[in-house]
Amino acid sequence: MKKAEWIIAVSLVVIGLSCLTMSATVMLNPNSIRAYLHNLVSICFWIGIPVLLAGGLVLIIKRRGNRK
Amino acid sequence: MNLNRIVLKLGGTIILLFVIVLLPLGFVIHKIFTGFYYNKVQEEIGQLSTRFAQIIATSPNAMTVNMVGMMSEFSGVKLFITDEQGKVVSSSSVSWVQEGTFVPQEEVAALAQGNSIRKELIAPVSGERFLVSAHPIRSEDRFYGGVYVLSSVEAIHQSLKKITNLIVLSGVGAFFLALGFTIVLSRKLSEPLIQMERAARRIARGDLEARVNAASGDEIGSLARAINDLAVDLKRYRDSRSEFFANISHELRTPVTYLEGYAKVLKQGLYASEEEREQILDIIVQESARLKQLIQDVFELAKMEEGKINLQMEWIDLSEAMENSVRNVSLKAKEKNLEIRVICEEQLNLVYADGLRTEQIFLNLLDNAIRYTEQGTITISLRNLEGQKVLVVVEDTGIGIPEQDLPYIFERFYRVEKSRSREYGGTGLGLAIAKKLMELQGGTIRVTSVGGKGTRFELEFRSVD
Repeated sequence: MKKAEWIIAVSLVVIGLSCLTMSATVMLNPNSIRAYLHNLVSICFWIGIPVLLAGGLVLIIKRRGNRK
Repeated sequence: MNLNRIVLKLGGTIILLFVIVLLPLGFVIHKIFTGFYYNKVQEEIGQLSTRFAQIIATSPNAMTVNMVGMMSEFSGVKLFITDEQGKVVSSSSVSWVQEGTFVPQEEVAALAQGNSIRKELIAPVSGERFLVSAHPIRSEDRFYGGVYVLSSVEAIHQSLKKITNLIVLSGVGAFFLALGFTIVLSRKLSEPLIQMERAARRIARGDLEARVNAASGDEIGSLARAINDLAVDLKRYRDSRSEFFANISHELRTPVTYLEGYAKVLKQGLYASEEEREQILDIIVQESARLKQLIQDVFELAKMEEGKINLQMEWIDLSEAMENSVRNVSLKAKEKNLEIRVICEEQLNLVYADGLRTEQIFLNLLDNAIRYTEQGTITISLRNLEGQKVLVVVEDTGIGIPEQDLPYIFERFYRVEKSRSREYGGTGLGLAIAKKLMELQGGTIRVTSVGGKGTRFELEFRSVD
Protein backbone atom coordinates (compact mmCIF):
# COMPACT_ATOMS: atom_id res chain seq x y z
CA MET A 1 0.00 0.00 0.00
CA LYS A 2 1.22 3.47 -0.87
CA LYS A 3 1.60 6.22 1.75
CA ALA A 4 -1.27 8.22 0.22
CA GLU A 5 -3.59 5.21 0.48
CA TRP A 6 -2.68 4.75 4.14
CA ILE A 7 -3.41 8.45 4.79
CA ILE A 8 -6.82 8.19 3.06
CA ALA A 9 -7.71 5.00 4.96
CA VAL A 10 -6.66 6.37 8.35
CA SER A 11 -8.47 9.70 7.67
CA LEU A 12 -11.67 7.83 6.82
CA VAL A 13 -11.40 5.78 10.00
CA VAL A 14 -10.83 8.95 12.07
CA ILE A 15 -13.80 10.72 10.39
CA GLY A 16 -15.97 7.65 10.99
CA LEU A 17 -14.96 7.46 14.65
CA SER A 18 -15.66 11.20 15.09
CA CYS A 19 -19.14 10.88 13.57
CA LEU A 20 -19.96 7.89 15.77
CA THR A 21 -18.63 9.57 18.92
CA MET A 22 -20.48 12.79 18.13
CA SER A 23 -23.79 11.02 17.62
CA ALA A 24 -23.28 9.07 20.86
CA THR A 25 -22.41 12.22 22.85
CA VAL A 26 -24.83 14.86 21.50
CA MET A 27 -27.98 13.64 23.28
CA LEU A 28 -26.55 13.27 26.79
CA ASN A 29 -23.53 15.55 27.28
CA PRO A 30 -23.17 17.77 24.22
CA ASN A 31 -20.72 20.20 25.82
CA SER A 32 -18.49 17.80 27.74
CA ILE A 33 -15.08 16.90 26.29
CA ARG A 34 -14.74 14.20 28.94
CA ALA A 35 -17.96 12.48 27.82
CA TYR A 36 -16.78 12.77 24.19
CA LEU A 37 -13.44 11.12 24.99
CA HIS A 38 -15.15 8.47 27.13
CA ASN A 39 -17.47 7.60 24.24
CA LEU A 40 -14.53 7.60 21.82
CA VAL A 41 -12.64 5.09 23.98
CA SER A 42 -15.79 2.97 24.35
CA ILE A 43 -16.34 2.89 20.59
CA CYS A 44 -12.68 1.93 20.03
CA PHE A 45 -13.16 -0.81 22.60
CA TRP A 46 -16.20 -2.17 20.74
CA ILE A 47 -14.24 -2.08 17.49
CA GLY A 48 -11.33 -3.84 19.20
CA ILE A 49 -13.42 -6.77 20.48
CA PRO A 50 -14.03 -8.41 17.06
CA VAL A 51 -10.45 -7.61 16.02
CA LEU A 52 -9.09 -9.33 19.15
CA LEU A 53 -11.45 -12.30 18.70
CA ALA A 54 -10.44 -12.73 15.05
CA GLY A 55 -6.75 -12.40 15.97
CA GLY A 56 -7.08 -15.01 18.70
CA LEU A 57 -8.89 -17.37 16.31
CA VAL A 58 -6.17 -16.97 13.66
CA LEU A 59 -3.47 -17.68 16.27
CA ILE A 60 -5.27 -20.84 17.46
CA ILE A 61 -5.70 -22.09 13.88
CA LYS A 62 -2.02 -21.37 13.09
CA ARG A 63 -0.80 -23.20 16.20
CA ARG A 64 -2.97 -26.22 15.38
CA GLY A 65 -1.63 -26.14 11.81
CA ASN A 66 1.96 -26.07 13.11
CA ARG A 67 1.31 -29.01 15.46
CA LYS A 68 0.01 -31.11 12.55
CA MET B 1 -8.46 5.48 -14.61
CA ASN B 2 -8.96 1.74 -14.98
CA LEU B 3 -12.05 0.71 -12.99
CA ASN B 4 -11.76 -2.96 -13.96
CA ARG B 5 -9.41 -3.78 -11.09
CA ILE B 6 -9.65 -6.51 -8.48
CA VAL B 7 -9.02 -4.09 -5.60
CA LEU B 8 -11.97 -1.90 -6.69
CA LYS B 9 -14.24 -4.90 -7.23
CA LEU B 10 -13.36 -6.37 -3.84
CA GLY B 11 -13.64 -3.05 -2.00
CA GLY B 12 -16.85 -2.16 -3.86
CA THR B 13 -18.41 -5.51 -2.99
CA ILE B 14 -17.55 -5.17 0.71
CA ILE B 15 -18.93 -1.61 0.83
CA LEU B 16 -22.05 -2.64 -1.11
CA LEU B 17 -22.68 -5.46 1.37
CA PHE B 18 -22.15 -3.05 4.23
CA VAL B 19 -24.62 -0.52 2.78
CA ILE B 20 -27.14 -3.33 2.07
CA VAL B 21 -27.01 -4.19 5.78
CA LEU B 22 -26.67 -0.61 7.07
CA LEU B 23 -29.67 0.98 5.30
CA PRO B 24 -32.37 -1.50 6.42
CA LEU B 25 -30.77 -1.58 9.88
CA GLY B 26 -31.01 2.23 10.05
CA PHE B 27 -34.64 2.07 8.91
CA VAL B 28 -35.45 -0.57 11.55
CA ILE B 29 -33.68 1.39 14.31
CA HIS B 30 -35.66 4.50 13.29
CA LYS B 31 -38.91 2.52 13.40
CA ILE B 32 -38.03 1.08 16.82
CA PHE B 33 -37.30 4.56 18.18
CA THR B 34 -40.50 6.04 16.66
CA GLY B 35 -42.65 3.20 18.02
CA PHE B 36 -40.98 3.37 21.41
CA TYR B 37 -41.44 7.15 21.65
CA TYR B 38 -45.07 7.08 20.51
CA ASN B 39 -45.83 4.32 23.03
CA LYS B 40 -44.06 6.25 25.76
CA VAL B 41 -46.12 9.39 25.05
CA GLN B 42 -49.34 7.37 24.77
CA GLU B 43 -48.52 5.72 28.08
CA GLU B 44 -47.78 9.08 29.72
CA ILE B 45 -50.97 10.79 28.56
CA GLY B 46 -52.91 7.60 29.38
CA GLN B 47 -51.56 7.69 32.94
CA LEU B 48 -52.33 11.42 33.22
CA SER B 49 -55.92 11.02 31.98
CA THR B 50 -56.42 8.07 34.39
CA ARG B 51 -54.99 10.04 37.31
CA PHE B 52 -57.11 13.16 36.56
CA ALA B 53 -60.21 11.00 36.08
CA GLN B 54 -59.58 9.32 39.45
CA ILE B 55 -59.14 12.75 41.15
CA ILE B 56 -62.44 13.97 39.70
CA ALA B 57 -64.18 10.64 40.52
CA THR B 58 -63.35 11.05 44.23
CA SER B 59 -65.39 14.27 44.27
CA PRO B 60 -67.31 14.73 41.03
CA ASN B 61 -68.30 18.42 41.22
CA ALA B 62 -67.53 21.67 39.36
CA MET B 63 -64.90 22.74 41.87
CA THR B 64 -62.81 19.61 41.40
CA VAL B 65 -63.15 19.96 37.61
CA ASN B 66 -61.90 23.58 37.82
CA MET B 67 -59.07 22.55 40.13
CA VAL B 68 -57.91 19.79 37.71
CA GLY B 69 -58.17 22.35 34.87
CA MET B 70 -55.95 24.75 36.77
CA MET B 71 -53.43 22.03 37.69
CA SER B 72 -53.10 20.98 34.07
CA GLU B 73 -52.73 24.60 32.97
CA PHE B 74 -49.91 25.12 35.47
CA SER B 75 -48.14 21.93 34.44
CA GLY B 76 -48.64 22.67 30.72
CA VAL B 77 -50.78 19.59 30.09
CA LYS B 78 -53.36 19.94 27.34
CA LEU B 79 -56.68 18.46 28.39
CA PHE B 80 -60.45 18.85 28.27
CA ILE B 81 -63.14 17.31 30.46
CA THR B 82 -66.61 16.22 29.34
CA ASP B 83 -69.73 15.45 31.32
CA GLU B 84 -71.86 12.31 30.98
CA GLN B 85 -73.57 13.72 27.81
CA GLY B 86 -70.22 14.37 26.10
CA LYS B 87 -70.38 18.14 26.57
CA VAL B 88 -67.00 19.83 27.21
CA VAL B 89 -67.15 21.35 30.70
CA SER B 90 -63.52 22.39 31.02
CA SER B 91 -60.77 22.97 28.46
CA SER B 92 -57.17 23.70 29.40
CA SER B 93 -54.53 24.86 26.90
CA VAL B 94 -56.68 23.53 24.04
CA SER B 95 -57.94 26.68 22.36
CA TRP B 96 -59.84 24.90 19.57
CA VAL B 97 -61.99 22.83 21.97
CA GLN B 98 -64.50 25.27 23.41
CA GLU B 99 -66.51 24.66 26.53
CA GLY B 100 -70.10 23.69 25.59
CA THR B 101 -69.13 21.75 22.50
CA PHE B 102 -69.80 18.03 22.27
CA VAL B 103 -67.54 15.06 21.60
CA PRO B 104 -68.84 12.28 19.27
CA GLN B 105 -71.56 10.10 20.84
CA GLU B 106 -69.75 6.81 20.08
CA GLU B 107 -66.85 8.06 22.27
CA VAL B 108 -69.30 8.91 25.05
CA ALA B 109 -70.79 5.42 24.75
CA ALA B 110 -67.34 3.82 24.92
CA LEU B 111 -66.38 5.90 27.96
CA ALA B 112 -69.74 5.12 29.60
CA GLN B 113 -68.91 1.41 29.24
CA GLY B 114 -65.66 2.05 31.14
CA ASN B 115 -63.33 1.87 28.13
CA SER B 116 -60.35 4.16 27.55
CA ILE B 117 -59.92 5.81 24.14
CA ARG B 118 -56.73 6.35 22.15
CA LYS B 119 -56.89 8.39 18.94
CA GLU B 120 -55.34 11.14 16.85
CA LEU B 121 -56.92 14.58 16.44
CA ILE B 122 -56.16 17.36 13.97
CA ALA B 123 -56.63 20.95 15.10
CA PRO B 124 -59.23 22.55 12.75
CA VAL B 125 -57.40 25.82 12.03
CA SER B 126 -53.69 25.16 12.54
CA GLY B 127 -53.83 21.58 11.26
CA GLU B 128 -51.63 20.53 14.17
CA ARG B 129 -51.85 16.80 15.00
CA PHE B 130 -52.39 15.51 18.57
CA LEU B 131 -52.29 12.15 20.27
CA VAL B 132 -55.33 11.84 22.54
CA SER B 133 -55.96 9.57 25.50
CA ALA B 134 -59.40 9.66 27.18
CA HIS B 135 -60.34 7.96 30.43
CA PRO B 136 -63.87 7.68 31.90
CA ILE B 137 -64.77 9.37 35.22
CA ARG B 138 -66.54 6.69 37.16
CA SER B 139 -67.48 6.43 40.79
CA GLU B 140 -69.57 3.70 42.40
CA ASP B 141 -70.67 2.39 38.98
CA ARG B 142 -71.87 5.80 37.92
CA PHE B 143 -70.55 7.51 34.83
CA TYR B 144 -69.77 11.23 35.20
CA GLY B 145 -67.93 11.93 31.92
CA GLY B 146 -64.34 11.69 30.60
CA VAL B 147 -60.92 13.29 30.83
CA TYR B 148 -59.15 13.87 27.47
CA VAL B 149 -55.38 14.47 27.64
CA LEU B 150 -53.62 15.58 24.45
CA SER B 151 -49.98 15.57 23.35
CA SER B 152 -48.73 17.32 20.20
CA VAL B 153 -47.46 14.92 17.51
CA GLU B 154 -45.31 17.76 16.17
CA ALA B 155 -43.36 17.83 19.43
CA ILE B 156 -42.85 14.08 19.15
CA HIS B 157 -41.72 14.53 15.55
CA GLN B 158 -39.24 17.21 16.59
CA SER B 159 -37.68 14.87 19.12
CA LEU B 160 -37.69 12.00 16.64
CA LYS B 161 -36.12 14.21 13.98
CA LYS B 162 -33.22 14.86 16.29
CA ILE B 163 -32.82 11.12 16.91
CA THR B 164 -33.11 10.42 13.18
CA ASN B 165 -30.36 12.95 12.47
CA LEU B 166 -28.14 11.26 15.05
CA ILE B 167 -28.87 7.83 13.55
CA VAL B 168 -27.95 9.20 10.10
CA LEU B 169 -24.77 10.75 11.55
CA SER B 170 -23.77 7.47 13.19
CA GLY B 171 -24.62 5.64 9.93
CA VAL B 172 -22.32 8.01 8.01
CA GLY B 173 -19.65 7.45 10.69
CA ALA B 174 -20.01 3.68 10.39
CA PHE B 175 -19.83 3.99 6.58
CA PHE B 176 -16.58 5.99 6.72
CA LEU B 177 -15.15 3.59 9.28
CA ALA B 178 -16.04 0.62 7.06
CA LEU B 179 -14.65 2.44 4.00
CA GLY B 180 -11.33 3.06 5.77
CA PHE B 181 -11.00 -0.56 6.85
CA THR B 182 -12.20 -1.80 3.44
CA ILE B 183 -9.47 0.14 1.64
CA VAL B 184 -6.82 -1.54 3.80
CA LEU B 185 -8.48 -4.97 3.62
CA SER B 186 -9.10 -5.00 -0.13
CA ARG B 187 -5.54 -3.80 -0.76
CA LYS B 188 -4.06 -6.47 1.49
CA LEU B 189 -6.25 -9.25 0.04
CA SER B 190 -5.63 -8.32 -3.59
CA GLU B 191 -1.90 -7.58 -3.21
CA PRO B 192 -0.76 -11.24 -3.59
CA LEU B 193 -3.00 -11.67 -6.65
CA ILE B 194 -1.58 -8.51 -8.24
CA GLN B 195 1.96 -9.69 -7.41
CA MET B 196 1.24 -13.05 -9.02
CA GLU B 197 -0.23 -11.39 -12.10
CA ARG B 198 2.90 -9.25 -12.48
CA ALA B 199 5.22 -12.22 -11.91
CA ALA B 200 3.26 -14.35 -14.43
CA ARG B 201 3.52 -11.54 -17.00
CA ARG B 202 7.28 -11.25 -16.39
CA ILE B 203 7.62 -15.03 -16.78
CA ALA B 204 5.56 -14.88 -19.99
CA ARG B 205 7.94 -12.18 -21.29
CA GLY B 206 10.86 -14.54 -20.63
CA ASP B 207 12.11 -13.20 -17.28
CA LEU B 208 12.33 -16.59 -15.58
CA GLU B 209 14.07 -15.15 -12.51
CA ALA B 210 10.72 -13.56 -11.47
CA ARG B 211 9.37 -14.98 -8.19
CA VAL B 212 6.30 -14.40 -6.02
CA ASN B 213 6.56 -14.00 -2.26
CA ALA B 214 4.44 -16.96 -1.04
CA ALA B 215 4.14 -16.23 2.67
CA SER B 216 0.68 -17.60 3.45
CA GLY B 217 -0.17 -21.27 3.69
CA ASP B 218 -3.62 -20.99 2.11
CA GLU B 219 -4.75 -21.46 -1.51
CA ILE B 220 -3.23 -18.11 -2.55
CA GLY B 221 0.12 -19.14 -1.05
CA SER B 222 -0.16 -22.48 -2.84
CA LEU B 223 -0.87 -20.69 -6.13
CA ALA B 224 2.18 -18.46 -5.57
CA ARG B 225 4.35 -21.52 -4.93
CA ALA B 226 2.92 -23.17 -8.07
CA ILE B 227 3.90 -20.08 -10.12
CA ASN B 228 7.41 -20.17 -8.59
CA ASP B 229 7.70 -23.90 -9.38
CA LEU B 230 6.51 -23.22 -12.92
CA ALA B 231 9.18 -20.53 -13.32
CA VAL B 232 11.86 -22.90 -11.98
CA ASP B 233 10.70 -25.68 -14.34
CA LEU B 234 10.60 -23.33 -17.30
CA LYS B 235 14.08 -22.06 -16.46
CA ARG B 236 15.40 -25.60 -16.13
CA TYR B 237 13.75 -26.51 -19.44
CA ARG B 238 15.17 -23.43 -21.18
CA ASP B 239 18.66 -23.99 -19.75
CA SER B 240 18.61 -27.67 -20.63
CA ARG B 241 17.37 -26.87 -24.15
CA SER B 242 20.17 -24.33 -24.68
CA GLU B 243 22.68 -26.76 -23.24
CA PHE B 244 21.30 -29.53 -25.42
CA PHE B 245 21.67 -27.45 -28.60
CA ALA B 246 25.18 -26.43 -27.58
CA ASN B 247 26.11 -30.06 -26.86
CA ILE B 248 24.53 -31.51 -29.97
CA SER B 249 26.18 -28.96 -32.25
CA HIS B 250 29.53 -29.68 -30.59
CA GLU B 251 29.06 -33.45 -30.77
CA LEU B 252 28.02 -33.29 -34.43
CA ARG B 253 30.71 -30.82 -35.44
CA THR B 254 33.60 -32.97 -34.16
CA PRO B 255 33.04 -36.11 -36.31
CA VAL B 256 32.07 -33.97 -39.29
CA THR B 257 35.36 -32.04 -38.93
CA TYR B 258 37.26 -35.33 -38.79
CA LEU B 259 35.43 -36.61 -41.85
CA GLU B 260 36.02 -33.39 -43.75
CA GLY B 261 39.73 -33.25 -42.84
CA TYR B 262 40.52 -36.88 -43.67
CA ALA B 263 38.44 -36.74 -46.85
CA LYS B 264 40.51 -33.75 -48.00
CA VAL B 265 43.72 -35.66 -47.17
CA LEU B 266 42.51 -38.53 -49.34
CA LYS B 267 41.32 -36.25 -52.14
CA GLN B 268 44.61 -34.35 -52.31
CA GLY B 269 46.64 -37.54 -51.88
CA LEU B 270 48.46 -36.23 -48.82
CA TYR B 271 49.32 -39.63 -47.38
CA ALA B 272 52.74 -41.24 -47.36
CA SER B 273 51.88 -44.89 -47.84
CA GLU B 274 49.10 -47.30 -48.61
CA GLU B 275 49.07 -48.28 -44.94
CA GLU B 276 48.42 -44.68 -43.88
CA ARG B 277 45.62 -44.46 -46.45
CA GLU B 278 44.02 -47.55 -44.90
CA GLN B 279 44.30 -45.98 -41.44
CA ILE B 280 42.59 -42.80 -42.68
CA LEU B 281 39.80 -44.84 -44.23
CA ASP B 282 39.37 -46.71 -40.91
CA ILE B 283 39.05 -43.38 -39.10
CA ILE B 284 36.46 -42.17 -41.63
CA VAL B 285 34.45 -45.39 -41.15
CA GLN B 286 34.66 -45.11 -37.34
CA GLU B 287 33.63 -41.47 -37.32
CA SER B 288 30.75 -42.16 -39.73
CA ALA B 289 29.55 -44.96 -37.45
CA ARG B 290 29.86 -42.68 -34.44
CA LEU B 291 27.91 -39.92 -36.23
CA LYS B 292 25.21 -42.41 -37.22
CA GLN B 293 25.00 -43.71 -33.66
CA LEU B 294 24.79 -40.15 -32.26
CA ILE B 295 21.97 -39.21 -34.62
CA GLN B 296 20.17 -42.46 -33.78
CA ASP B 297 20.55 -41.82 -30.01
CA VAL B 298 19.34 -38.21 -30.26
CA PHE B 299 16.35 -39.34 -32.27
CA GLU B 300 15.52 -42.08 -29.75
CA LEU B 301 15.84 -39.73 -26.79
CA ALA B 302 13.71 -37.04 -28.47
CA LYS B 303 11.00 -39.62 -29.15
CA MET B 304 11.11 -40.81 -25.52
CA GLU B 305 10.93 -37.30 -24.10
CA GLU B 306 7.97 -36.43 -26.30
CA GLY B 307 6.27 -39.67 -25.27
CA LYS B 308 6.11 -40.85 -28.87
CA ILE B 309 7.91 -44.12 -28.28
CA ASN B 310 5.80 -47.28 -28.47
CA LEU B 311 6.79 -49.98 -26.04
CA GLN B 312 5.80 -53.58 -26.72
CA MET B 313 5.19 -54.52 -23.09
CA GLU B 314 5.04 -58.24 -22.40
CA TRP B 315 6.24 -60.79 -19.81
CA ILE B 316 9.87 -61.48 -20.68
CA ASP B 317 12.77 -63.47 -19.25
CA LEU B 318 15.57 -61.06 -18.32
CA SER B 319 18.22 -63.78 -18.44
CA GLU B 320 17.53 -64.22 -22.18
CA ALA B 321 17.75 -60.47 -22.81
CA MET B 322 21.01 -60.34 -20.83
CA GLU B 323 22.40 -63.32 -22.73
CA ASN B 324 21.76 -61.58 -26.07
CA SER B 325 23.33 -58.36 -24.83
CA VAL B 326 26.42 -60.12 -23.47
CA ARG B 327 26.80 -61.94 -26.79
CA ASN B 328 26.77 -58.58 -28.61
CA VAL B 329 29.50 -57.03 -26.46
CA SER B 330 31.65 -60.13 -25.89
CA LEU B 331 33.93 -59.30 -28.85
CA LYS B 332 34.66 -55.82 -27.48
CA ALA B 333 35.37 -57.29 -24.04
CA LYS B 334 37.67 -59.91 -25.55
CA GLU B 335 39.63 -57.19 -27.38
CA LYS B 336 40.33 -55.54 -24.00
CA ASN B 337 40.94 -58.87 -22.22
CA LEU B 338 37.96 -58.30 -19.90
CA GLU B 339 36.01 -61.14 -18.39
CA ILE B 340 32.20 -60.93 -18.32
CA ARG B 341 30.73 -62.99 -15.52
CA VAL B 342 26.96 -63.61 -15.39
CA ILE B 343 25.34 -64.88 -12.17
CA CYS B 344 21.67 -65.65 -12.67
CA GLU B 345 19.27 -66.99 -10.09
CA GLU B 346 17.47 -70.16 -11.02
CA GLN B 347 13.74 -69.69 -11.51
CA LEU B 348 14.18 -66.00 -12.23
CA ASN B 349 10.77 -64.34 -12.32
CA LEU B 350 9.41 -62.95 -15.55
CA VAL B 351 9.27 -59.16 -15.80
CA TYR B 352 6.76 -56.93 -17.56
CA ALA B 353 8.86 -54.98 -20.06
CA ASP B 354 9.72 -54.40 -23.71
CA GLY B 355 12.27 -57.08 -24.69
CA LEU B 356 14.18 -55.07 -27.33
CA ARG B 357 14.32 -51.91 -25.21
CA THR B 358 15.52 -53.92 -22.21
CA GLU B 359 18.32 -55.34 -24.34
CA GLN B 360 19.14 -51.77 -25.37
CA ILE B 361 19.42 -50.78 -21.67
CA PHE B 362 21.74 -53.73 -20.96
CA LEU B 363 23.81 -52.98 -24.06
CA ASN B 364 24.24 -49.34 -23.05
CA LEU B 365 25.35 -50.33 -19.53
CA LEU B 366 27.69 -53.10 -20.73
CA ASP B 367 29.11 -50.81 -23.43
CA ASN B 368 29.79 -48.22 -20.77
CA ALA B 369 31.38 -50.77 -18.43
CA ILE B 370 33.72 -52.10 -21.17
CA ARG B 371 34.61 -48.56 -22.30
CA TYR B 372 35.72 -47.39 -18.86
CA THR B 373 37.34 -50.64 -17.65
CA GLU B 374 40.94 -51.35 -18.63
CA GLN B 375 41.41 -54.58 -16.71
CA GLY B 376 39.42 -56.84 -14.45
CA THR B 377 35.92 -58.21 -14.62
CA ILE B 378 32.43 -57.09 -15.47
CA THR B 379 30.00 -58.90 -13.21
CA ILE B 380 26.32 -59.20 -14.00
CA SER B 381 23.88 -60.65 -11.50
CA LEU B 382 20.16 -61.24 -11.84
CA ARG B 383 18.01 -62.19 -8.85
CA ASN B 384 14.48 -62.03 -7.51
CA LEU B 385 13.59 -59.44 -4.88
CA GLU B 386 10.75 -59.31 -2.39
CA GLY B 387 7.69 -57.38 -3.50
CA GLN B 388 7.48 -58.78 -7.06
CA LYS B 389 10.69 -57.25 -8.33
CA VAL B 390 13.78 -58.46 -10.17
CA LEU B 391 17.17 -56.87 -9.53
CA VAL B 392 19.84 -56.67 -12.22
CA VAL B 393 23.31 -55.52 -11.18
CA VAL B 394 26.02 -54.54 -13.67
CA GLU B 395 29.32 -54.01 -11.86
CA ASP B 396 32.72 -53.23 -13.32
CA THR B 397 36.26 -52.74 -12.03
CA GLY B 398 36.88 -49.63 -14.12
CA ILE B 399 37.98 -46.09 -13.39
CA GLY B 400 34.81 -45.30 -11.40
CA ILE B 401 32.92 -42.03 -11.15
CA PRO B 402 33.80 -39.26 -8.67
CA GLU B 403 31.10 -38.76 -6.04
CA GLN B 404 30.38 -35.16 -7.10
CA ASP B 405 29.58 -36.34 -10.66
CA LEU B 406 27.21 -39.15 -9.68
CA PRO B 407 23.99 -37.02 -9.58
CA TYR B 408 24.58 -35.85 -13.16
CA ILE B 409 25.68 -38.95 -15.00
CA PHE B 410 22.17 -39.67 -16.34
CA GLU B 411 21.98 -36.22 -17.94
CA ARG B 412 22.35 -35.89 -21.69
CA PHE B 413 25.95 -35.39 -22.89
CA TYR B 414 27.30 -35.33 -19.35
CA ARG B 415 30.87 -36.59 -19.22
CA VAL B 416 33.06 -36.97 -16.18
CA GLU B 417 36.23 -36.25 -18.10
CA LYS B 418 35.25 -33.96 -20.95
CA SER B 419 38.84 -33.70 -22.26
CA ARG B 420 39.09 -37.50 -22.71
CA SER B 421 35.65 -38.06 -24.20
CA ARG B 422 37.01 -38.83 -27.66
CA GLU B 423 39.55 -41.21 -26.21
CA TYR B 424 36.81 -43.27 -24.54
CA GLY B 425 34.26 -42.79 -27.34
CA GLY B 426 30.51 -43.02 -26.91
CA THR B 427 27.87 -40.40 -27.58
CA GLY B 428 27.21 -39.26 -24.01
CA LEU B 429 23.56 -40.31 -24.40
CA GLY B 430 23.70 -44.00 -23.44
CA LEU B 431 22.93 -43.60 -19.72
CA ALA B 432 20.28 -40.91 -20.39
CA ILE B 433 18.54 -43.34 -22.76
CA ALA B 434 18.88 -46.23 -20.25
CA LYS B 435 17.30 -44.14 -17.45
CA LYS B 436 14.48 -42.89 -19.66
CA LEU B 437 13.69 -46.43 -20.85
CA MET B 438 13.69 -47.78 -17.29
CA GLU B 439 11.28 -45.02 -16.22
CA LEU B 440 8.99 -45.66 -19.18
CA GLN B 441 8.84 -49.37 -18.23
CA GLY B 442 8.05 -48.55 -14.61
CA GLY B 443 11.46 -49.57 -13.29
CA THR B 444 14.27 -47.75 -11.52
CA ILE B 445 18.00 -47.38 -12.06
CA ARG B 446 20.58 -46.47 -9.40
CA VAL B 447 24.30 -46.00 -9.48
CA THR B 448 27.05 -46.26 -6.89
CA SER B 449 30.71 -45.86 -7.58
CA VAL B 450 34.14 -45.68 -5.94
CA GLY B 451 36.76 -43.68 -7.85
CA GLY B 452 39.46 -45.99 -9.22
CA LYS B 453 37.66 -49.16 -8.06
CA GLY B 454 34.60 -49.45 -10.24
CA THR B 455 30.96 -48.61 -10.80
CA ARG B 456 27.79 -50.53 -9.93
CA PHE B 457 24.45 -50.02 -11.68
CA GLU B 458 21.32 -51.51 -10.06
CA LEU B 459 18.15 -51.94 -12.10
CA GLU B 460 14.80 -52.93 -10.61
CA PHE B 461 12.08 -54.38 -12.85
CA ARG B 462 8.46 -55.19 -12.01
CA SER B 463 7.97 -58.95 -12.01
CA VAL B 464 5.44 -61.68 -11.40
CA ASP B 465 5.94 -64.64 -9.01
